[in-house]
Amino acid sequence: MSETTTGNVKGSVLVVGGGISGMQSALDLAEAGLKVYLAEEKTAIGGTMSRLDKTFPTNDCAMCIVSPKLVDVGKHLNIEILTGAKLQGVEGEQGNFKVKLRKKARYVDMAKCTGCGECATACPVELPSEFDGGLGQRKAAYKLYAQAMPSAYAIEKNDLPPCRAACPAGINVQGYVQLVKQGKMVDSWRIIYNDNPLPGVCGRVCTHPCETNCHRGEVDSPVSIRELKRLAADAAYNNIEELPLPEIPEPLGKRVAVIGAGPAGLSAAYQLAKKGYGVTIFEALPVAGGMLSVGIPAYRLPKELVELEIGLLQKMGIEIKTGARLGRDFTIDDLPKQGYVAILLAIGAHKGIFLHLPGEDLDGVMPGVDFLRKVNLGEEVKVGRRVAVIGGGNTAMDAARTALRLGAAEVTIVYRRSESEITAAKDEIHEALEEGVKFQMLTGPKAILGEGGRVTGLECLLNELGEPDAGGRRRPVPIAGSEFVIDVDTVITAVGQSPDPAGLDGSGLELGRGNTVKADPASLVTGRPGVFAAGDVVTGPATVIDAIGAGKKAAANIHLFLQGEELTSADSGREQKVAPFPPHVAGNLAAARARPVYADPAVRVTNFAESALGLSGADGLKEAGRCLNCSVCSECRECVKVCLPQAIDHDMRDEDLELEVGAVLLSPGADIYNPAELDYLGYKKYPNVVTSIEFERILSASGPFQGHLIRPSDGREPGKIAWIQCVGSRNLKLNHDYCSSVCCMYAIKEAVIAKEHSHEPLDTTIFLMDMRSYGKDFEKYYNRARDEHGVRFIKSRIFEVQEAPDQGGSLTIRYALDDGTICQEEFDLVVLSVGFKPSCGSRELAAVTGIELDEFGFCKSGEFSRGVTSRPGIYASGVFAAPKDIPETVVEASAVAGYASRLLSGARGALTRVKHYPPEKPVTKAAPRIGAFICNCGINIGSVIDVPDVVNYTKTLKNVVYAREFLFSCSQDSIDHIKQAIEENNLNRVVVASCTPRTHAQLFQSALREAGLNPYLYEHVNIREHSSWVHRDTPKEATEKAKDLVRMAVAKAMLLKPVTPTHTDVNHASLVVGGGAAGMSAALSLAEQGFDVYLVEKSPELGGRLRQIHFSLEGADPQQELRQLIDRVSNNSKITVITGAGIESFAGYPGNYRTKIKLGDKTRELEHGATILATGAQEAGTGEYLYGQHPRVVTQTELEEKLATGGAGDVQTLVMIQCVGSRDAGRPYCSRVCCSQALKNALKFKELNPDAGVFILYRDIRSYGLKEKYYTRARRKGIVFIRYSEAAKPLVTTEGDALRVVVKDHILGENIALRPDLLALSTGVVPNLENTRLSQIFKVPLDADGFLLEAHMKLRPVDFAADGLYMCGLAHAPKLAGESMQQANAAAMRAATLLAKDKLENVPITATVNKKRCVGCMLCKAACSYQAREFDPVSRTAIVREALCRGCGACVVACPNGATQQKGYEKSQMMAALKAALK
Amino acid sequence: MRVIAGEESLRTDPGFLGQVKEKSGQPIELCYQCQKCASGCPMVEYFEYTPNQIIRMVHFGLKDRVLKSPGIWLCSGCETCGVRCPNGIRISEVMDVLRSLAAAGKVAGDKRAEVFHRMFLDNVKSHGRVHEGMLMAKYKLKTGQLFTDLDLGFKLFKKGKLPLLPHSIKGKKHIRDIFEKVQKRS
Repeated sequence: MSETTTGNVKGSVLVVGGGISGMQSALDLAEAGLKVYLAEEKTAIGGTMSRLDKTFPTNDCAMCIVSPKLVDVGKHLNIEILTGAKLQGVEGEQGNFKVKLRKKARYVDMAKCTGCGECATACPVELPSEFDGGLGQRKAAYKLYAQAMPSAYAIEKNDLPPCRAACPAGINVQGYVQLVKQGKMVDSWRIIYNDNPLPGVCGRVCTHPCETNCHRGEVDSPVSIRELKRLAADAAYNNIEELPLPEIPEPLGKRVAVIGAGPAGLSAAYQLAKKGYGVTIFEALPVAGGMLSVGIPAYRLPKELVELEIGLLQKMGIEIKTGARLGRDFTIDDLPKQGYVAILLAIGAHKGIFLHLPGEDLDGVMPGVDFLRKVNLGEEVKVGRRVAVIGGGNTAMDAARTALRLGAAEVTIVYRRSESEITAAKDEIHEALEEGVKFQMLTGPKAILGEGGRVTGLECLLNELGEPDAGGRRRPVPIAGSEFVIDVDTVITAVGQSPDPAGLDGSGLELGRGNTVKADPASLVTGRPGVFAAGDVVTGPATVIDAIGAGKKAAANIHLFLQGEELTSADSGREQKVAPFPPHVAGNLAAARARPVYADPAVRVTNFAESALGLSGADGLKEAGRCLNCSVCSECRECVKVCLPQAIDHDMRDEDLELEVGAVLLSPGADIYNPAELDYLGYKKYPNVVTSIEFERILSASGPFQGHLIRPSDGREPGKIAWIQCVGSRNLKLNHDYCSSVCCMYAIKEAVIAKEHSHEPLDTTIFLMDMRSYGKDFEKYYNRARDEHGVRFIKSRIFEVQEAPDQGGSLTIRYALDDGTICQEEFDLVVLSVGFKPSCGSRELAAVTGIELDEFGFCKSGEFSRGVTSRPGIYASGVFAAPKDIPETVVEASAVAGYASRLLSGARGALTRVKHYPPEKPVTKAAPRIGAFICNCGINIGSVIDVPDVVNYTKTLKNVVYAREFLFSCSQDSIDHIKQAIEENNLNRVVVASCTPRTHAQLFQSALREAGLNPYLYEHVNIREHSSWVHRDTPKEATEKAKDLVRMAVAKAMLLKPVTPTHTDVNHASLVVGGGAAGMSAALSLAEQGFDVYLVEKSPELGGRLRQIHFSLEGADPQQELRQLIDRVSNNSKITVITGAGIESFAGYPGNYRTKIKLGDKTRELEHGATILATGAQEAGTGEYLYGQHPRVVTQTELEEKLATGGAGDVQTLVMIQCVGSRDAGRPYCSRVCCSQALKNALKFKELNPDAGVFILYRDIRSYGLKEKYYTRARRKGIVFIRYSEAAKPLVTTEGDALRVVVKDHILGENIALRPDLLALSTGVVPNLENTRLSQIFKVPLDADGFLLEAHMKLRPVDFAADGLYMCGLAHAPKLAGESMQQANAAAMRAATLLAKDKLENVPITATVNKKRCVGCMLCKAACSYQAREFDPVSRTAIVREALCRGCGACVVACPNGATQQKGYEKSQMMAALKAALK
Repeated sequence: MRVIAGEESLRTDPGFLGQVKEKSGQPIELCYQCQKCASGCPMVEYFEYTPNQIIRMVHFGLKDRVLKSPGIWLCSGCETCGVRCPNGIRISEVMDVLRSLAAAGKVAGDKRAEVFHRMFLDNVKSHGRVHEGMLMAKYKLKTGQLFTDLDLGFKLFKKGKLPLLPHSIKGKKHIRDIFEKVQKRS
C-alpha cells in the first residue's frame, strides 16, 4: 500500500490499548476516514469491560453489549488489530509520527486458526486464568475469553524453564513431564529421545541438574524428574517393536568415526545419524556403553537396559566395532584413509588414579574403576572379609556396595572430609547406609599395612576442616598424632580417574591437565581440524548427562564443519534467559514429592538385581502434576498434532514493526489494585476474601463457576456477603489520594445482582465512607438498592478481616457505627472493592512517548482540554488518564478521536480502503439453483452430527444442484471454494449450515458478492448452537434436526429476492443548538475537522453558564477559556454563529435535515446533515434555608460571583449546605457538580480569608476521581466537614440580623451551632425549561428528570437512538465545564463519522408497503419507534422512509392487511420454511 | 461555633486543635471520620469515646471534655490505629500529647488513671521495669481502694505473677537517661 499523504499529514492513527476506550476511538476514526492501527498487549481486545458480568446503572450484560463492538472492530476494513503489541518508541511530530512496536509471537497463525479450540484441549499445561482472576484455569494454548476478538487462539511462552536450561543435553524437560502427567509415556519418551539417546539409562543414574534447579524446590522439594524419565522410558520399551524411532534421512554419503562407545560417543553418533551421516563407533572394550557398561554396577543400571538402548542406535544404522582399541588396533591417522571425513574422540576417563601411599602395591589393593570394570565384565574378582574403600564419590559407593554383594562382611568408606562435602549422590549414600556400609568420615589414609605381600590394615589419620579450597569445599587438615589402624584385607582406592592417553601417541593432539585432551570448549574441535573430542576425555571424569550433552554439541559442530560453516564460538551462542519463579503459581501447593520404591536392603545386598524400582505409574502421573510449568508452554507439541488447519508454529519469533501515523491515542487502561499489599484485609490469605473483579467473574455465566454464586473455599452458596469499599483508593498512605470513581456503583450493582443470583434470600452489606453515586441515574440506582432490594449500607471503614474461629471459612468484620458503637458480624464471603492503580506499563508508555504523568502516575491533561497530553499529537483516554467509569471512558474515547480527526482532517480518506465488488448477476427470472455447504466445524458439529449424511440428504432436495461438506467453512480455502462453486455451477442461491450467523453470516455473504451474487440470496443455518451443541447426547436426532433445518433454509432460499440498500447523499454541514461551552466546543471541533457549522444560540451572546464560572477546582481560568472559545468560534470561517435565535421546526433524516429558526420576526431555514443539541441547564433555585428571605443566604453561583468581585471580604464564618433540594423525593438525582463547586469556592475563600472559618455541611462528599485531593486539601486548610442525614437537615434561623445554623454532628451526636456571616447553598442543577419543547421539535426523548436521554447509558452516551442526532453538555446531565467540553468533542466526533461520508447506506432489510393492500390506517406509524412511517396524502397509503427504517419489523406485525412486508423475511418465504419444517 | 450537648452549650477552645497538632506533629485536621481506628482498637470497649471521637472533639476544640476523658489514659499506645489510618494520623502520638496536657493542666476528672500512669512511670524509672506488686500496692494506697480486686491479686500471686521483690534490669541507667531526656524536652 502506498503511503500517500494529503496536506502533509498521515491519514492514519495508532491507538494503544484495545479496551472499550481504544475500541471506541478506533471505530470513530475509521468511520471518519482514517486508517487505524489498534495495538493491544494481550492476545485479544476487550479490556476490563469484557470481564464484567453486568453494568450499572442499566444492569445490562456487559458481554452482550460489548461484543457487537468487538465484532465491529474486528471486521472493520480500516482497523488493523495488532495483538501482543507493545509500543517501543514514537519519533517525529504531530501529523507525522514514526512509531515502533514490538509484537510478541503468538505461535498461532491467525489467518489459519479457526478458533476450534482443539489445541487447548490437547494442551497439558494448566495455569490460573488471569481473565477469571485466578479462580478458573486455562491452558498454555488459550483464547482470552470465549467471545475474544480476534477469535484465534494463542500460545503463551516464557523464557526457558530452569530444568531445561540446566540440562547439559538441553532436554525439553517440562515438555516430557507434562506428557507423563497425561499418561502419554511414548510421546514423553520421544521428547527425551530427541536430545538424549539414553533415556532409560539417565532415568536411573542421571545426576539430574534439572532437579537441582527446579523452581518447585523453592516451594517444597523439586519435581522427581529423573524418576519420571525412567517411567516414560520403561513404559516406552514395553513395546519395543512399535517404538517410534526418529526417521533417518537419506544418507548424505559422508562417514564419521567416533572413538569410544560411551555416552558421549553414543550421543554424538545418534545426532549425526539423524542428520544422515554414516557413523562407525570404535570401542576398545569387548562391550559398548563405556562407563555405563563397565563402570556402573548392574544393581544400579541393568546391563540389559544399556544393551537395549545401544541396540536401538544400531537399529538406526550406527555401526559399533568393539574390541578396537585406539593405538593398538588403529590410529587417528588411519581413519581419514578409511574414508571418514570427521573424527570424534570420546574415549572417556577409565584409568584409576593412584594415591601414592606406602603399601599401595600390596596384594588386595586395587583402583575402584578397575575393580568395577572387572566385576561388570564378569571376570572373577575376590574381595576379602573386611574391605576399606577410600574416597567419597559415586565410584566409591559403587565399589563399596559391589564389594558387599561379592561377599565382604564389612565395608568401610574412608573419606577425608565431612558429610557436607561428600560428592556421591544422596540416594546412593542412603542406599549404601541401608545396606550396612560404614562411613569413616574426616579420615585420611596414611599407609596401607601388609604382611607377606597381603593387606592387613589401613593406617589412617583424623582430619579437621580448614579453609575452603579453590573448589569452594573446606580443605581437610590432618590432626597430628591421631593415627589409628583399621583392620582390613582389601583396600579399594576410588579417589578419581583420568583418560588413558596411551593410544594418542603420534596423533598430534595436545594434552591438558590430568591427561585430558584439549578442545575448544564451545565447538569441541581439537587442535587438529576435523578431529573433535567430547566427554570425560576433555573434561576429566564427569556425569553421564554431561557426556551426552557434549556428544550432542560435538555432533552439531561436526555437522557445521562438514557443511563448511563456521563452528560454534564462545560468543555465537546467545545465552537464553531462564524463566523466573512463575508468577502464575498460587499459594497452597500441597503435594509432597513422590518417593520411589527400593528393594529390601537385606535381600538386594545379596545379588546384582536392580535395587531402585522407580515410581508406580499412578505416583508418576501425580508427581508430574507437581511441575509448575515455569515457561508456561511446555513445547510438547501436542497442539501441533491436533491442529487440523496446521495453524500452529512454535518457531514464530517476536516481530518489530514500524508504522507511520499522524496521531497516537493512548488508552492502555490501568491496573486493578492488588489488595495483597494490605494484608489485613485477608486477600490471598482467606479463600473467601475476593476482589470485586473476581466477584464479577463468579457472577458471570462465562466465569469459572458458570454463573453460580458460590464461594471459593467450599463451593457453598453464601448467605451473607460484605463489600469493603475504598480498597486501594482514598488512601494517603499509599499515595492514592484519589477516588477510583467506579467502586461505589459496581458494589451496589454486585450486591443487587448477587441477590438475583442467590436461591435463598441473600444478606448484602456495603461498608463505605461516602456513597459516590454522582453519575446520571446513579442516585436512583442507589436508592433502589437500599429501599427495594434491601442492600444494607454502613458508613464505616473496615480495619481488618479475620477468619471466624469456627473454621467454616466465614469471616469476621468488626466495625464502628457513627455513635461509636462497636459491632462484630460474620460474613460468608467478603468482596474487596478494589480501585485503579496506574500500571508500570503507564510509566513505560510515558517514557517511550515522552508524555507527562501526574503525581499518581495518571496521564496529565488540561482541565478544559481533557485527553490532550503534554506532547502534541498524542492523546490519552480512559482510566490511563484518570479513574472513570465506562460511559465517561466512551465519551473521552470519542473526544480524543475528535482531536486526532481535527489534526488529520486534511488526510481523511487518504489511507483507507474501500472494497469493490463485481456487478451483480440478474437472478430474479432464473430458476433457483441452490448450493449448500455443510460445516463440520472441526469436531464441533462433526462429532455429533453425521455431516456426510446431511450432505447426501441435502443433495436430494429440490433445486439443490450442489452440496458438499467443509471441515471449516470459514477458512479462507473454503470461502474460495464457495466462490468457485457459485461460478462453476451457476448457483444463484447459497445455503451454509454452520455456526451462528451473528459472527459468520456476513463472511459468507461477502463471498456471494465477490462471486457476483446479491448477498441476500443467502440463507444461514445454525446447526452448531441449534443442534450439535444442544443435542450432544442424541447424535441421531441431532442429525435429523440438522436435516430439518437445512430443508427449511432451502425452501426459503428458493424464494429469496435480491435486496439492494438505498443510499442517501450527505449534507456536510451541521447544526449545533446552544452556544455555551459545550456548543462552542462542538462547533469548533466540527469546523476544525473541516465541516461547516451553524451555531444557534437563543440568547444574544455566546457563553452560557460558563459566564458565571470564575474559578475552577484545578486552577484553570474559566473566563479566559471562555474568551478564547468565543474568539476562536467567531473567527472560524466555517462557523456561522446565529444568536438570539429560537428553533421553530425540524425535519428530515440523517444526512439531510432542515431546521427552521426564528430571528426576531424572521424565520430562516438551515440545511444540515447532523445535529448536536447542547442546550444547557441551569442552577436550581430554592425556598429552603431562608434563601430569598435573608440577604446573607446565597447560592454557590452567587457566592462565586461575590468571591470574584471581592464581595466576601468581611465574612468571618462561611457555612455551606450541600444537597439543597437535591437527592430527595422532589429531585431524586445528584447534581454532581456541587461538591466540586463547594470545595472550589471554600478553597478560594480560604485563600482570600485564611483566618475565617469554613464549615461544609454535607451528606456524602462526592469528590470523585482526582478531585479527592482537593477534598484532602480542603481538610488540610482547616475547612470543617460535618455530615448530616436527610432525616436531620440543618436548621437555619435568625437571631436578630444574624444567621444561626444548627446541625447535628454525626460523630459526637451533638448539635453544633454556627453563626455564619454568609450561608452558601449548593442548590444543584435543573434541566432547561425549554427541554420539553425541544424534545418535541427534535423528536428526541427526555429522561424522568427532564434531561436529554441518550441511546444507551453505557456505550452510546452522546448519541440519540436516532442516527444523526447527538447531545452534549448540561443538557444531557449535570457535569463540570471541562466535562461538558469533553462531551462536546465526543459529540462532534460522532457527528463527523456521519458527515465524513458522501453517501450513507441505508439499512438493507427494511419494511416495504404493497400499495394495493394498504388502506392507510397508519397502525404502522404508531408501531414505528424511528419515525420511519409517514402517510402519503397522494396515494392515501403509508410509506416507508428508508433512511430512517431500522428493519425492526414492528410495523409488519402491526399491519392488519399484510400490506407491509419485511425484505428477506416476506410472508411467502417464512411460510415456505414453515411448511418445509412440517414435511 | 458552639457545641451544644442537650441544653448545655460546651465551651470550645479555638486554639486547642492547633496546640495538639503542633505538639503531636500529626495531621489531625485530615481526619475524615472513617472510623477505621475505632473498629480496630483493642481497648475501644473500655473507652467512653472512640479514638475518632477524641479526634473529632480535638477538632472542635472541646478541650475540657477531651482532657477529662479517662480514655486518653487507657490508650495503651499500641499504634494499632495509627498504622492503618488512611490519612496517616498516628493517634497514639495524639493521645500522648493529650495525656501530657491533661497532667500539666491539672484537669479535674477521674484521677485514678492518671495516678496509675504516674506510678507506672515512677516504677519503671526506678527499676527499669515494672514491679507489679509494688505498683499495685502503691496504687491502692493512693486511690484508697485497698480491698478491691483481692481475689484477682491472690490468683496472680499463686501463679507467680506478683513477685515479692522487684527485679531490676541491666540497663537501668539508660532508662533513667531516657526519662531525663524526655523531661528536659517537655
